[in-house]
Amino acid sequence: MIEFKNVSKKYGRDIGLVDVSFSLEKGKIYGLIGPNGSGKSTTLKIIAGLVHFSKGTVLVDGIPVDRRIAKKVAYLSELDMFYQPFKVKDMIDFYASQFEDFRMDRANELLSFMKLDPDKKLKQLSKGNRGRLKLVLAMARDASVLLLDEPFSGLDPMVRDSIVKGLLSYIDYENQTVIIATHEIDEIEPLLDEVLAVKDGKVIDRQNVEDLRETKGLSVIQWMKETFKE
Amino acid sequence: MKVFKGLIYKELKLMKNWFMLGLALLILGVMIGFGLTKYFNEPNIFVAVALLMVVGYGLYLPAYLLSSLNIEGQTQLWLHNPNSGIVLFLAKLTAGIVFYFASFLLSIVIAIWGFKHGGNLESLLQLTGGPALNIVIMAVGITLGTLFLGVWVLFYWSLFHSLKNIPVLSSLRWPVVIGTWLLFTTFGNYVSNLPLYQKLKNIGVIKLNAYSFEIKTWNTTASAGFVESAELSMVNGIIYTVLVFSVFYAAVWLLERKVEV
Repeated sequence: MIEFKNVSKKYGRDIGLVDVSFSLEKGKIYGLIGPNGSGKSTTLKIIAGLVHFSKGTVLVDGIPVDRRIAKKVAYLSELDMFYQPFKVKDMIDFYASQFEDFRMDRANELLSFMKLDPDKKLKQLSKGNRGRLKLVLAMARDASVLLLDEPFSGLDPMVRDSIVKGLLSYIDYENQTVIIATHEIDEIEPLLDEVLAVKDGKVIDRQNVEDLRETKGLSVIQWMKETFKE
Repeated sequence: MKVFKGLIYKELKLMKNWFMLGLALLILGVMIGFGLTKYFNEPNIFVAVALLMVVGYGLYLPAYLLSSLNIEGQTQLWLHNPNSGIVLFLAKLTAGIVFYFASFLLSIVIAIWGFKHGGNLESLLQLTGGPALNIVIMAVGITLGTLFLGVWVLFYWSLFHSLKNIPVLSSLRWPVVIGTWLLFTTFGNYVSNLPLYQKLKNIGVIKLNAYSFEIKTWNTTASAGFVESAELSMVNGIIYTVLVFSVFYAAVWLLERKVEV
Protein backbone atom coordinates (compact mmCIF):
# COMPACT_ATOMS: atom_id res chain seq x y z
CA MET A 1 0.00 0.00 0.00
CA ILE A 2 1.18 3.51 -0.81
CA GLU A 3 0.11 6.58 1.16
CA PHE A 4 0.72 10.24 0.35
CA LYS A 5 -0.20 12.65 3.15
CA ASN A 6 -0.09 16.37 2.30
CA VAL A 7 3.00 15.97 0.16
CA SER A 8 4.58 19.00 -1.49
CA LYS A 9 7.70 19.21 -3.60
CA LYS A 10 9.46 22.26 -5.00
CA TYR A 11 12.25 22.40 -7.58
CA GLY A 12 13.82 25.77 -6.91
CA ARG A 13 11.00 28.19 -7.73
CA ASP A 14 9.11 25.57 -9.73
CA ILE A 15 6.37 23.51 -8.20
CA GLY A 16 6.54 19.71 -8.39
CA LEU A 17 3.64 18.70 -6.16
CA VAL A 18 1.26 20.76 -4.02
CA ASP A 19 -0.27 19.26 -0.87
CA VAL A 20 -1.06 15.93 -2.48
CA SER A 21 -2.84 13.21 -0.48
CA PHE A 22 -3.99 9.81 -1.74
CA SER A 23 -3.59 6.15 -0.99
CA LEU A 24 -3.12 3.26 -3.41
CA GLU A 25 -4.06 -0.30 -2.56
CA LYS A 26 -2.20 -3.54 -3.03
CA GLY A 27 -3.21 -5.69 -5.99
CA LYS A 28 -4.35 -2.86 -8.26
CA ILE A 29 -3.02 -1.22 -11.40
CA TYR A 30 -3.19 2.56 -11.40
CA GLY A 31 -2.76 4.94 -14.28
CA LEU A 32 -1.22 8.34 -13.60
CA ILE A 33 -2.36 10.64 -16.33
CA GLY A 34 -1.60 14.27 -17.03
CA PRO A 35 0.17 16.70 -19.34
CA ASN A 36 3.95 17.12 -19.42
CA GLY A 37 5.29 18.73 -16.25
CA SER A 38 2.12 17.98 -14.30
CA GLY A 39 3.90 16.02 -11.55
CA LYS A 40 3.54 12.40 -12.71
CA SER A 41 7.26 11.62 -12.79
CA THR A 42 7.85 13.49 -9.54
CA THR A 43 5.18 11.35 -7.87
CA LEU A 44 6.87 8.16 -9.06
CA LYS A 45 10.35 9.37 -8.09
CA ILE A 46 9.10 10.23 -4.61
CA ILE A 47 7.68 6.71 -4.19
CA ALA A 48 11.00 5.30 -5.44
CA GLY A 49 12.87 7.39 -2.83
CA LEU A 50 14.82 9.22 -5.52
CA VAL A 51 13.32 12.63 -4.90
CA HIS A 52 12.98 14.14 -1.45
CA PHE A 53 9.71 15.95 -0.84
CA SER A 54 9.60 19.33 0.89
CA LYS A 55 6.56 18.62 3.11
CA GLY A 56 4.33 15.73 4.11
CA THR A 57 4.65 11.98 4.56
CA VAL A 58 4.97 9.14 2.08
CA LEU A 59 4.66 5.53 3.20
CA VAL A 60 5.15 2.30 1.27
CA ASP A 61 3.74 -0.70 3.15
CA GLY A 62 3.81 1.50 6.25
CA ILE A 63 7.50 2.39 5.88
CA PRO A 64 8.53 6.05 5.33
CA VAL A 65 10.25 6.25 1.97
CA ASP A 66 13.91 6.98 1.51
CA ARG A 67 16.46 5.82 -1.04
CA ARG A 68 16.54 2.31 0.37
CA ILE A 69 12.84 1.76 -0.28
CA ALA A 70 14.21 0.41 -3.59
CA LYS A 71 14.12 -2.93 -1.75
CA LYS A 72 10.34 -2.90 -2.15
CA VAL A 73 9.97 -0.69 -5.20
CA ALA A 74 10.91 -1.52 -8.79
CA TYR A 75 11.24 1.65 -10.85
CA LEU A 76 11.38 2.10 -14.58
CA SER A 77 12.48 5.64 -15.43
CA GLU A 78 11.33 7.56 -18.47
CA LEU A 79 15.03 8.35 -19.05
CA ASP A 80 17.85 6.06 -20.11
CA MET A 81 19.18 4.39 -16.98
CA PHE A 82 22.04 2.27 -18.25
CA TYR A 83 25.79 2.03 -17.96
CA GLN A 84 26.92 2.65 -21.51
CA PRO A 85 29.95 0.28 -21.62
CA PHE A 86 27.72 -2.64 -20.55
CA LYS A 87 26.21 -5.44 -22.57
CA VAL A 88 22.59 -6.49 -22.03
CA LYS A 89 23.68 -9.43 -19.87
CA ASP A 90 25.93 -7.13 -17.76
CA MET A 91 22.90 -5.02 -16.87
CA ILE A 92 20.93 -8.15 -15.98
CA ASP A 93 23.80 -9.47 -13.83
CA PHE A 94 24.19 -6.09 -12.13
CA TYR A 95 20.50 -5.96 -11.21
CA ALA A 96 20.63 -9.58 -10.04
CA SER A 97 23.56 -8.73 -7.75
CA GLN A 98 21.84 -5.68 -6.22
CA PHE A 99 18.20 -6.74 -5.78
CA GLU A 100 17.40 -9.80 -3.70
CA ASP A 101 14.02 -10.14 -5.40
CA PHE A 102 15.46 -10.20 -8.93
CA ARG A 103 14.39 -13.42 -10.66
CA MET A 104 17.00 -14.54 -13.15
CA ASP A 105 14.69 -17.16 -14.70
CA ARG A 106 12.04 -14.50 -15.31
CA ALA A 107 14.66 -12.11 -16.71
CA ASN A 108 15.77 -14.76 -19.22
CA GLU A 109 12.15 -15.44 -20.20
CA LEU A 110 11.53 -11.73 -20.64
CA LEU A 111 14.71 -11.32 -22.69
CA SER A 112 13.57 -13.92 -25.16
CA PHE A 113 10.00 -12.56 -25.16
CA MET A 114 11.40 -9.11 -25.95
CA LYS A 115 13.79 -10.63 -28.53
CA LEU A 116 16.85 -9.06 -26.89
CA ASP A 117 20.31 -10.51 -27.46
CA PRO A 118 22.13 -10.75 -24.07
CA ASP A 119 25.50 -10.28 -25.77
CA LYS A 120 24.55 -7.06 -27.51
CA LYS A 121 26.29 -3.90 -26.31
CA LEU A 122 23.90 -1.30 -24.88
CA LYS A 123 25.25 1.48 -27.07
CA GLN A 124 24.31 -0.63 -30.11
CA LEU A 125 20.67 -0.99 -29.01
CA SER A 126 17.96 1.00 -30.73
CA LYS A 127 15.74 3.29 -28.66
CA GLY A 128 12.99 0.69 -28.83
CA ASN A 129 15.25 -2.10 -27.60
CA ARG A 130 16.55 0.05 -24.79
CA GLY A 131 12.93 0.57 -23.77
CA ARG A 132 12.41 -3.19 -23.84
CA LEU A 133 15.46 -3.76 -21.65
CA LYS A 134 14.16 -1.26 -19.11
CA LEU A 135 10.94 -3.27 -18.98
CA VAL A 136 12.89 -6.53 -18.52
CA LEU A 137 14.86 -5.06 -15.60
CA ALA A 138 11.78 -3.76 -13.82
CA MET A 139 9.48 -6.72 -14.49
CA ALA A 140 12.02 -9.36 -13.47
CA ARG A 141 11.76 -8.18 -9.88
CA ASP A 142 9.32 -9.56 -7.32
CA ALA A 143 8.86 -6.10 -5.79
CA SER A 144 5.65 -5.18 -3.98
CA VAL A 145 5.46 -1.89 -5.90
CA LEU A 146 6.11 -1.55 -9.62
CA LEU A 147 6.50 1.98 -10.97
CA LEU A 148 6.54 2.42 -14.74
CA ASP A 149 7.22 5.91 -16.07
CA GLU A 150 6.32 6.11 -19.77
CA PRO A 151 7.14 2.41 -20.19
CA PHE A 152 6.12 2.19 -23.83
CA SER A 153 7.76 5.32 -25.20
CA GLY A 154 10.11 4.45 -28.02
CA LEU A 155 8.41 1.09 -28.64
CA ASP A 156 7.25 0.42 -32.17
CA PRO A 157 3.45 1.00 -32.22
CA MET A 158 3.04 -2.23 -34.22
CA VAL A 159 4.46 -4.38 -31.40
CA ARG A 160 3.43 -2.20 -28.48
CA ASP A 161 0.08 -3.90 -28.09
CA SER A 162 1.52 -7.43 -28.05
CA ILE A 163 4.26 -6.39 -25.60
CA VAL A 164 1.71 -4.87 -23.25
CA LYS A 165 -0.38 -8.06 -23.36
CA GLY A 166 2.69 -10.23 -22.85
CA LEU A 167 3.83 -8.21 -19.87
CA LEU A 168 0.52 -8.75 -18.12
CA SER A 169 1.49 -12.33 -17.39
CA TYR A 170 4.43 -11.07 -15.32
CA ILE A 171 2.37 -8.91 -12.98
CA ASP A 172 1.45 -10.40 -9.62
CA TYR A 173 -2.17 -9.24 -9.37
CA GLU A 174 -2.51 -10.40 -5.77
CA ASN A 175 0.48 -8.73 -4.20
CA GLN A 176 1.78 -5.95 -6.42
CA THR A 177 0.74 -2.34 -6.66
CA VAL A 178 1.47 -1.15 -10.17
CA ILE A 179 1.53 2.53 -11.16
CA ILE A 180 1.89 3.47 -14.80
CA ALA A 181 2.50 7.08 -15.80
CA THR A 182 1.92 7.43 -19.50
CA HIS A 183 0.56 9.32 -22.47
CA GLU A 184 -0.18 6.09 -24.39
CA ILE A 185 -3.62 5.54 -22.87
CA ASP A 186 -4.92 3.37 -25.71
CA GLU A 187 -2.74 0.36 -24.96
CA ILE A 188 -2.97 0.41 -21.20
CA GLU A 189 -6.65 1.24 -20.76
CA PRO A 190 -7.70 -2.44 -20.50
CA LEU A 191 -5.12 -3.01 -17.74
CA LEU A 192 -6.10 -0.21 -15.43
CA ASP A 193 -8.21 -0.50 -12.29
CA GLU A 194 -8.10 3.19 -11.44
CA VAL A 195 -6.87 6.42 -13.00
CA LEU A 196 -5.58 9.54 -11.30
CA ALA A 197 -5.49 12.83 -13.16
CA VAL A 198 -2.53 15.04 -12.25
CA LYS A 199 -2.30 18.70 -13.21
CA ASP A 200 -0.06 21.52 -11.92
CA GLY A 201 1.23 19.31 -9.13
CA LYS A 202 -2.20 18.34 -7.86
CA VAL A 203 -4.35 15.22 -8.17
CA ILE A 204 -7.45 16.81 -9.65
CA ASP A 205 -9.56 13.68 -10.13
CA ARG A 206 -9.57 9.97 -9.47
CA GLN A 207 -11.82 7.39 -11.05
CA ASN A 208 -12.43 3.66 -11.02
CA VAL A 209 -12.12 2.64 -14.68
CA GLU A 210 -14.99 0.14 -14.52
CA ASP A 211 -17.34 2.66 -12.88
CA LEU A 212 -16.29 5.22 -15.44
CA ARG A 213 -17.36 2.90 -18.24
CA GLU A 214 -20.52 1.57 -16.61
CA THR A 215 -21.98 4.62 -14.88
CA LYS A 216 -20.69 7.45 -17.03
CA GLY A 217 -20.23 5.55 -20.27
CA LEU A 218 -16.79 7.05 -20.75
CA SER A 219 -13.51 5.51 -21.85
CA VAL A 220 -10.37 6.68 -20.05
CA ILE A 221 -9.41 8.80 -23.06
CA GLN A 222 -12.82 10.50 -23.12
CA TRP A 223 -12.63 11.12 -19.37
CA MET A 224 -9.09 12.47 -19.77
CA LYS A 225 -10.19 14.88 -22.52
CA GLU A 226 -13.00 16.14 -20.31
CA THR A 227 -10.82 16.45 -17.25
CA PHE A 228 -7.99 18.32 -18.93
CA LYS A 229 -10.21 20.54 -21.07
CA GLU A 230 -8.88 24.09 -20.79
CA MET B 1 29.38 -10.06 -0.70
CA LYS B 2 27.35 -10.56 -3.89
CA VAL B 3 26.20 -6.94 -3.67
CA PHE B 4 29.73 -5.60 -3.19
CA LYS B 5 31.16 -7.79 -5.94
CA GLY B 6 28.42 -6.63 -8.31
CA LEU B 7 29.19 -2.98 -7.53
CA ILE B 8 32.95 -3.49 -7.92
CA TYR B 9 32.53 -5.32 -11.23
CA LYS B 10 30.24 -2.53 -12.46
CA GLU B 11 32.71 0.13 -11.35
CA LEU B 12 35.74 -1.53 -12.95
CA LYS B 13 33.87 -1.98 -16.22
CA LEU B 14 32.47 1.54 -16.12
CA MET B 15 35.82 3.20 -15.43
CA LYS B 16 38.09 0.96 -17.51
CA ASN B 17 38.59 3.66 -20.14
CA TRP B 18 39.45 6.20 -17.46
CA PHE B 19 42.15 3.85 -16.17
CA MET B 20 43.51 3.36 -19.69
CA LEU B 21 43.59 7.14 -20.13
CA GLY B 22 45.63 7.39 -16.89
CA LEU B 23 48.11 4.85 -18.23
CA ALA B 24 48.31 6.72 -21.53
CA LEU B 25 49.11 9.95 -19.65
CA LEU B 26 51.79 8.10 -17.68
CA ILE B 27 53.39 6.86 -20.90
CA LEU B 28 53.15 10.37 -22.31
CA GLY B 29 54.92 11.66 -19.20
CA VAL B 30 57.70 9.10 -19.65
CA MET B 31 58.11 10.10 -23.28
CA ILE B 32 58.26 13.80 -22.35
CA GLY B 33 60.82 12.97 -19.66
CA PHE B 34 62.96 11.08 -22.13
CA GLY B 35 62.57 13.78 -24.73
CA LEU B 36 63.66 16.56 -22.34
CA THR B 37 66.55 14.43 -21.06
CA LYS B 38 67.81 13.95 -24.61
CA TYR B 39 67.20 17.56 -25.65
CA PHE B 40 69.03 19.13 -22.68
CA ASN B 41 71.44 16.22 -22.32
CA GLU B 42 70.66 16.19 -18.60
CA PRO B 43 69.86 12.69 -17.22
CA ASN B 44 68.36 14.06 -13.98
CA ILE B 45 65.43 15.58 -15.85
CA PHE B 46 63.91 12.14 -16.33
CA VAL B 47 64.19 11.43 -12.58
CA ALA B 48 62.55 14.76 -11.78
CA VAL B 49 59.70 14.10 -14.24
CA ALA B 50 59.25 10.55 -12.88
CA LEU B 51 59.10 11.89 -9.31
CA LEU B 52 56.62 14.57 -10.32
CA MET B 53 54.42 11.87 -11.82
CA VAL B 54 54.64 9.82 -8.62
CA VAL B 55 53.69 12.86 -6.52
CA GLY B 56 50.87 13.63 -8.98
CA TYR B 57 49.21 10.38 -7.95
CA GLY B 58 48.08 12.18 -4.83
CA LEU B 59 45.26 13.50 -7.02
CA TYR B 60 44.47 10.16 -8.67
CA LEU B 61 41.69 8.96 -6.37
CA PRO B 62 39.91 12.34 -6.09
CA ALA B 63 39.95 12.69 -9.89
CA TYR B 64 38.77 9.10 -10.33
CA LEU B 65 35.91 9.51 -7.85
CA LEU B 66 34.82 12.82 -9.35
CA SER B 67 34.71 11.26 -12.79
CA SER B 68 32.86 8.14 -11.60
CA LEU B 69 30.36 10.09 -9.49
CA ASN B 70 29.78 12.45 -12.40
CA ILE B 71 28.70 9.47 -14.52
CA GLU B 72 26.39 8.27 -11.73
CA GLY B 73 24.96 11.77 -11.42
CA GLN B 74 23.69 11.62 -14.99
CA THR B 75 21.13 8.89 -14.23
CA GLN B 76 19.39 7.59 -11.12
CA LEU B 77 20.60 4.05 -11.69
CA TRP B 78 23.21 4.13 -8.93
CA LEU B 79 20.88 5.62 -6.35
CA HIS B 80 18.00 3.25 -7.16
CA ASN B 81 19.58 0.58 -5.00
CA PRO B 82 18.41 -0.95 -1.71
CA ASN B 83 21.91 -1.25 -0.29
CA SER B 84 23.48 1.17 2.16
CA GLY B 85 25.37 4.27 1.14
CA ILE B 86 28.40 2.86 2.95
CA VAL B 87 28.48 -0.09 0.54
CA LEU B 88 27.92 2.16 -2.49
CA PHE B 89 30.76 4.51 -1.55
CA LEU B 90 33.11 1.75 -0.36
CA ALA B 91 32.73 -0.06 -3.68
CA LYS B 92 33.73 3.13 -5.49
CA LEU B 93 36.71 3.67 -3.19
CA THR B 94 37.81 0.05 -3.55
CA ALA B 95 37.62 0.04 -7.34
CA GLY B 96 39.43 3.40 -7.41
CA ILE B 97 42.18 2.02 -5.18
CA VAL B 98 42.58 -1.05 -7.41
CA PHE B 99 43.09 1.21 -10.44
CA TYR B 100 45.26 3.56 -8.37
CA PHE B 101 47.64 0.81 -7.27
CA ALA B 102 47.87 -0.75 -10.72
CA SER B 103 48.84 2.61 -12.20
CA PHE B 104 50.81 3.93 -9.24
CA LEU B 105 53.04 0.83 -8.97
CA LEU B 106 53.96 1.28 -12.60
CA SER B 107 54.92 4.90 -11.95
CA ILE B 108 57.03 3.82 -8.96
CA VAL B 109 58.85 1.21 -11.05
CA ILE B 110 59.53 3.93 -13.62
CA ALA B 111 60.78 6.29 -10.87
CA ILE B 112 63.08 3.62 -9.38
CA TRP B 113 64.40 2.82 -12.85
CA GLY B 114 64.96 6.55 -13.33
CA PHE B 115 66.90 6.75 -10.06
CA LYS B 116 69.10 3.83 -11.03
CA HIS B 117 69.82 5.19 -14.46
CA GLY B 118 69.94 8.86 -13.49
CA GLY B 119 73.10 10.91 -13.59
CA ASN B 120 74.65 12.42 -10.52
CA LEU B 121 71.87 11.91 -8.02
CA GLU B 122 73.72 13.75 -5.24
CA SER B 123 73.18 16.96 -7.14
CA LEU B 124 69.43 16.31 -7.14
CA LEU B 125 68.70 14.51 -3.92
CA GLN B 126 70.48 13.72 -0.73
CA LEU B 127 69.29 10.25 0.05
CA THR B 128 70.16 8.66 3.33
CA GLY B 129 68.07 5.51 3.09
CA GLY B 130 68.44 4.36 -0.50
CA PRO B 131 66.11 5.30 -3.38
CA ALA B 132 63.77 2.30 -3.05
CA LEU B 133 63.16 2.84 0.67
CA ASN B 134 62.60 6.56 0.21
CA ILE B 135 60.19 5.98 -2.65
CA VAL B 136 58.25 3.43 -0.61
CA ILE B 137 57.86 5.92 2.26
CA MET B 138 56.82 8.57 -0.20
CA ALA B 139 54.35 6.12 -1.81
CA VAL B 140 52.72 5.38 1.56
CA GLY B 141 52.36 9.12 2.19
CA ILE B 142 50.89 9.75 -1.27
CA THR B 143 48.48 6.81 -0.89
CA LEU B 144 47.22 8.12 2.45
CA GLY B 145 46.96 11.59 0.93
CA THR B 146 44.94 10.43 -2.10
CA LEU B 147 42.58 8.47 0.19
CA PHE B 148 42.12 11.52 2.41
CA LEU B 149 41.31 13.76 -0.55
CA GLY B 150 39.11 11.05 -2.10
CA VAL B 151 36.88 10.89 0.96
CA TRP B 152 36.51 14.69 0.87
CA VAL B 153 35.43 14.39 -2.78
CA LEU B 154 32.66 11.99 -1.70
CA PHE B 155 31.53 14.56 0.84
CA TYR B 156 31.60 17.57 -1.48
CA TRP B 157 29.84 15.64 -4.29
CA SER B 158 27.12 14.60 -1.84
CA LEU B 159 26.83 18.15 -0.50
CA PHE B 160 26.57 19.57 -4.03
CA HIS B 161 23.75 17.19 -4.98
CA SER B 162 22.01 17.62 -1.62
CA LEU B 163 21.65 21.35 -2.18
CA LYS B 164 19.39 20.64 -5.16
CA ASN B 165 16.83 19.65 -2.56
CA ILE B 166 16.84 23.11 -0.93
CA PRO B 167 14.94 25.54 -3.18
CA VAL B 168 16.73 28.68 -1.89
CA LEU B 169 20.20 27.20 -2.43
CA SER B 170 19.70 25.06 -5.51
CA SER B 171 20.93 27.80 -7.85
CA LEU B 172 23.85 28.68 -5.54
CA ARG B 173 25.31 25.20 -5.23
CA TRP B 174 28.83 26.01 -6.42
CA PRO B 175 29.27 29.09 -4.16
CA VAL B 176 27.94 27.10 -1.19
CA VAL B 177 30.34 24.19 -1.83
CA ILE B 178 33.32 26.56 -2.29
CA GLY B 179 32.25 28.51 0.82
CA THR B 180 32.04 25.26 2.81
CA TRP B 181 35.52 24.29 1.63
CA LEU B 182 36.90 27.72 2.63
CA LEU B 183 35.18 27.46 6.01
CA PHE B 184 36.58 23.99 6.71
CA THR B 185 40.07 25.00 5.53
CA THR B 186 40.10 28.14 7.72
CA PHE B 187 38.80 26.19 10.69
CA GLY B 188 41.38 23.44 10.09
CA ASN B 189 44.20 26.00 9.95
CA TYR B 190 42.93 27.68 13.11
CA VAL B 191 42.74 24.38 15.02
CA SER B 192 46.14 23.17 13.80
CA ASN B 193 47.73 26.38 15.13
CA LEU B 194 46.20 26.06 18.59
CA PRO B 195 48.78 25.39 21.33
CA LEU B 196 46.65 22.45 22.54
CA TYR B 197 46.76 20.83 19.09
CA GLN B 198 50.53 21.37 18.90
CA LYS B 199 50.91 19.68 22.28
CA LEU B 200 48.72 16.75 21.21
CA LYS B 201 50.64 16.45 17.96
CA ASN B 202 53.90 16.08 19.83
CA ILE B 203 52.67 13.03 21.74
CA GLY B 204 54.04 9.74 20.38
CA VAL B 205 56.20 11.25 17.62
CA ILE B 206 58.39 8.83 15.65
CA LYS B 207 61.37 10.58 14.09
CA LEU B 208 61.99 8.89 10.78
CA ASN B 209 65.45 10.42 10.36
CA ALA B 210 66.57 8.42 13.42
CA TYR B 211 66.19 5.44 11.11
CA SER B 212 67.96 7.22 8.23
CA PHE B 213 64.76 7.57 6.18
CA GLU B 214 65.24 11.29 5.66
CA ILE B 215 65.05 12.76 2.19
CA LYS B 216 66.63 16.15 1.62
CA THR B 217 66.14 18.12 -1.50
CA TRP B 218 65.02 21.42 -3.00
CA ASN B 219 64.50 23.10 0.32
CA THR B 220 63.13 26.20 -1.28
CA THR B 221 60.34 24.51 -3.29
CA ALA B 222 59.13 22.30 -0.42
CA SER B 223 57.46 19.83 -2.77
CA ALA B 224 54.94 17.37 -1.37
CA GLY B 225 56.56 14.21 -0.14
CA PHE B 226 59.91 15.83 0.49
CA VAL B 227 60.67 16.94 4.02
CA GLU B 228 63.72 18.14 5.83
CA SER B 229 63.25 16.06 8.92
CA ALA B 230 60.51 13.51 8.51
CA GLU B 231 58.50 12.52 11.55
CA LEU B 232 55.25 10.74 12.23
CA SER B 233 52.88 11.88 14.93
CA MET B 234 50.72 9.06 16.26
CA VAL B 235 48.13 11.47 17.71
CA ASN B 236 48.03 13.35 14.41
CA GLY B 237 47.41 10.02 12.69
CA ILE B 238 44.54 9.24 15.06
CA ILE B 239 43.02 12.71 14.57
CA TYR B 240 43.20 12.37 10.78
CA THR B 241 41.72 8.84 10.93
CA VAL B 242 38.79 10.11 13.01
CA LEU B 243 38.39 13.04 10.59
CA VAL B 244 38.34 10.74 7.54
CA PHE B 245 35.73 8.46 9.12
CA SER B 246 33.61 11.47 10.15
CA VAL B 247 33.73 12.98 6.66
CA PHE B 248 32.92 9.59 5.12
CA TYR B 249 29.89 9.12 7.36
CA ALA B 250 28.73 12.68 6.70
CA ALA B 251 28.87 11.88 2.97
CA VAL B 252 26.90 8.67 3.53
CA TRP B 253 24.30 10.55 5.61
CA LEU B 254 23.81 13.07 2.82
CA LEU B 255 23.62 10.32 0.21
CA GLU B 256 20.93 8.46 2.13
CA ARG B 257 18.76 11.41 3.05
CA LYS B 258 19.39 14.41 0.85
CA VAL B 259 21.10 13.64 -2.46
CA GLU B 260 19.07 14.10 -5.63
CA VAL B 261 20.56 13.76 -9.08
